[in-house]
Amino acid sequence: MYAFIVLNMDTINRTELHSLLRSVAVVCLAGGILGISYGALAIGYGLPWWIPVLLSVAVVAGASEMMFVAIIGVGGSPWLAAAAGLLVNARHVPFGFQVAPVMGHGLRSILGAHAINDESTSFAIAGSSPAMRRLGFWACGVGIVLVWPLGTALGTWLGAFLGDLDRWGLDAVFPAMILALVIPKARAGGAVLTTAVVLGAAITVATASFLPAGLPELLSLAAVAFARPWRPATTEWELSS
Amino acid sequence: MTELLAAIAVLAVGTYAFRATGPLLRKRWKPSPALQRTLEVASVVLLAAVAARSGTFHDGELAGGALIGGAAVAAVLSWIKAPFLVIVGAAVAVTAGLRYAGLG
Repeated sequence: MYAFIVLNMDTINRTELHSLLRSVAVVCLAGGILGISYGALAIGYGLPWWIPVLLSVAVVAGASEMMFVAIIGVGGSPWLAAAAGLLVNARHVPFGFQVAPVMGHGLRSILGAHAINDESTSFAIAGSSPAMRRLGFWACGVGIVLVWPLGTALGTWLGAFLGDLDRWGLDAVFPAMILALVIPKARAGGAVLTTAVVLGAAITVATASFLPAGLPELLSLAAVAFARPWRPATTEWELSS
Repeated sequence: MTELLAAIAVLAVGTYAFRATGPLLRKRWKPSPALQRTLEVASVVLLAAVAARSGTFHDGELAGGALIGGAAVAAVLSWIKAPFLVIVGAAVAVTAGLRYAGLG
């Protein structure tokens, strides 16, 4: 990791680097805390400790894992749980295309694929230069891949001792950090992109109470049509030059 | 038990396939600039949708005012480009505060 940072030093200024690493540290800390509450939740369903931990190592996608555990926890079919989890995770397909240029080729793209998640994709989009996007993606992606299972394991161990973590407002961490990374990007894209983003979020929130998890998020993609980004480039769309 | 392990494997392998599609396809096929812009807009819209949902729904049900309030404060602070730590800290503080005040 250190060598990796040094390699990038010439293209990133020091202040920017420190601010990026601080943000990544916060996101990873938050990921660990989220993992703890997820591990505790799984134990609460009476599941053995290794099920959430195995999911956290092999899947690394919190929302789908919580859904999986919630379904099998009440005695539902594991196949239904897997299908629901896959629906929740379908958003990683467009993320993969978006993140691919910052990942590198060969082994890096094969390993890096596992590190694609909401947080690392946000860093890959939000970075102010190609070097910042690359460093943000890798630091956050690898951090989450390590911290998420550790948090989960800790949560299954601490289990019921923790009480209700939401009392501390920690459920606000995840939406807040994604918004912090994505909203400035939407704003930089101008009124059209901002409108598309708001429209997409509205579609998701409006349908979330009656559609199965994952689907409302995918429906937000209808709002992309509003921005018509496939038209020939105008200055407005110089998002990641 | 075998069934459960197989279902976990399906979820893990399927999720990896979702993630790897873009990076692996990119080696032999480079998206056109128009498609790249579309994918970038799609990623921004999707991430905002994920954030909007997790800031308004909790365990599949509409969340109380505390979480929604915290997420709304985060949205406003993000719009005016507040520092990352300030945004996350304010969201947590507002949510915890409203919850302490009894607002679910």
